[in-house]
Amino acid sequence: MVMAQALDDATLVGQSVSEPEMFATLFDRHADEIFRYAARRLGPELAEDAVGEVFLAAFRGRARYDRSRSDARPWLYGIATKVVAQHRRAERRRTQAMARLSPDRPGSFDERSADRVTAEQLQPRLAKALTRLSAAERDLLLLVAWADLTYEDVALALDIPVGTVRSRLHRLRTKVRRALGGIDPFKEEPEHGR
Amino acid sequence: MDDEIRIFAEGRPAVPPYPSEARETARRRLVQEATARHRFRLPRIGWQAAGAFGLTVALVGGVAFTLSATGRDGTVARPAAPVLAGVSDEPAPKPGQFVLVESETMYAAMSMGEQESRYLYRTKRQLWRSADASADGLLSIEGLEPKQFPGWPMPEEAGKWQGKEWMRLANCPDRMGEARSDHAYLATLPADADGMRAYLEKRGKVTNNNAFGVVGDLIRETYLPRPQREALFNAAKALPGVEVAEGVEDGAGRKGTALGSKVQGGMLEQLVFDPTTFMFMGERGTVVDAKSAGAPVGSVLALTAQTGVSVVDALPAESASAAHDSSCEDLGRPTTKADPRFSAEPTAPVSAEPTLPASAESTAPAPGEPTVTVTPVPDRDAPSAAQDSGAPSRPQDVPAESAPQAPVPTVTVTMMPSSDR
Repeated sequence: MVMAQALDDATLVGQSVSEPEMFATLFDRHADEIFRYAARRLGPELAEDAVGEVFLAAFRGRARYDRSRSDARPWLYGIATKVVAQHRRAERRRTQAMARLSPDRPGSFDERSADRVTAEQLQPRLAKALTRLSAAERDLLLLVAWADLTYEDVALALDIPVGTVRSRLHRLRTKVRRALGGIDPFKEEPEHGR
Repeated sequence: MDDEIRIFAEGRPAVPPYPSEARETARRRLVQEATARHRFRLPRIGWQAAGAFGLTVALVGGVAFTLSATGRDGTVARPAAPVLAGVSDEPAPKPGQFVLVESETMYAAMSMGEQESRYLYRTKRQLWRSADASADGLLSIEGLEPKQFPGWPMPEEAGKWQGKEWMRLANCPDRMGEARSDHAYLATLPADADGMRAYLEKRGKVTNNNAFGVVGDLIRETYLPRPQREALFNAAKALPGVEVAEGVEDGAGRKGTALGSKVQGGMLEQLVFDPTTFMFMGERGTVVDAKSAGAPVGSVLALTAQTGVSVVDALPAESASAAHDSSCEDLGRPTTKADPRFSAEPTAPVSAEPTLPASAESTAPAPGEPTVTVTPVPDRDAPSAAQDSGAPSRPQDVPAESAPQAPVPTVTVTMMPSSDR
């Protein structure tokens, strides 16, 4: 018999139906990643609670896990997305606060330094752009941009066909471009990486 | 990645690592849920928890252990079995021997998935445990005729409880620590009520169980020496919230003194003891909150009887082919996935938290002929499964949160008390 840590997520989740303790291994494996995602969306404080909620909900729903998926991350991100949705007001407050961090001065030469107040903050103009997206659009964008999920994984997480992911992202890009001021953000701000 | 998305990806806010205290709290909550009493588990694998509640009627050497309780017909309960005649003293199993506990159980089974269903599944169990934790144990579970869950039609799957399964019980006393159930360990427990109370509370803290839960774990399918039994009974009786009731029937229709506590899921859980010998007779779970239980108040959703305890020299031959038990194997230290997409992320410290205690004993079957055994089942009255319910109440408590994936397999799980592990 293999040890729990050698099992893939699907096997772990499957076994946890009868051996609930096995689920703790899934927590050990993915909690940090889910925390990072939740912290980016909700802030570190709220994220602490959110991670617990995500794994409890996952645990309770584990019998429904599709065991043909060896990686549980899309599933966990899907749950995380729902948990974040429960904190939507908090997320909005956070995003709006970040959007207000500095005066909006599009085109200003100093923008980069002024915008990025600290590494912990989303750039105000990105935050502002986020506030102009619908909740569903934000979920989609951030699963791709912040959780680094593939389109296929996003489709699993949000329970929509991958074709829908693609078409929604296409529309989303247009909307984001407009929100960002119709400029090529890369050209203008080549050093936004961390 | 397209530029519009990339700018968000690269502009993602930095976040601190998951604080270890919060991480541990979340993990503890999860484990607590995972080991909560009345959790859902597959019956066939649920042996650790499973209850063998029971009515320990006859110990080897039996006579001394005949229950003094009276049956529902008012007559003195008949000893489960004459077993070995002549021994009047409580026998102490010798190293290398096995304690065999036989029981009959009824617990709720729930099926989640596209087709939700509930019924009460019944089993007959025989559990052999090395008296001194020197060898693997063995468990057989035989399906008995199921009963209806109040308000729910009997699902087809209920019929699957046929035949008998054999399972090895892994032996790993070191890992089990205070969750050990072998006679040798139980004999080391405090023999006075105060000491036992302190033990219950301490163990409860370790296992995220309450003291009353620990009581059940100590007596189900085990054989406690008399001094510990009496201490346990008196300690349990004095626990906060514990209600004492006389004349409560176990799954075999025998009456005893019940120590009851309200537990999760709107149930009153009663542990029924022989008031004279302090032997554990069986367990009874009765609905006290219809909404959380999903069944009318008064419905009996759990009912067991421990029908015999005996000491044998060896496991039966079936142990050779019994299913493997991996519960002594390592339960998973965290692994961090080496996902290149996250290589830029600071790798959060891997929790060095020890693995959860596994359950039961280990590996090393000792095939051979059992020397002793036996303990017929006393006249067993059909557990009152309360079939009277009215309109089917949709379960409020069937977990179904968030689970976005497509195909929804129907998985049958059952609810039964757990032992801590």
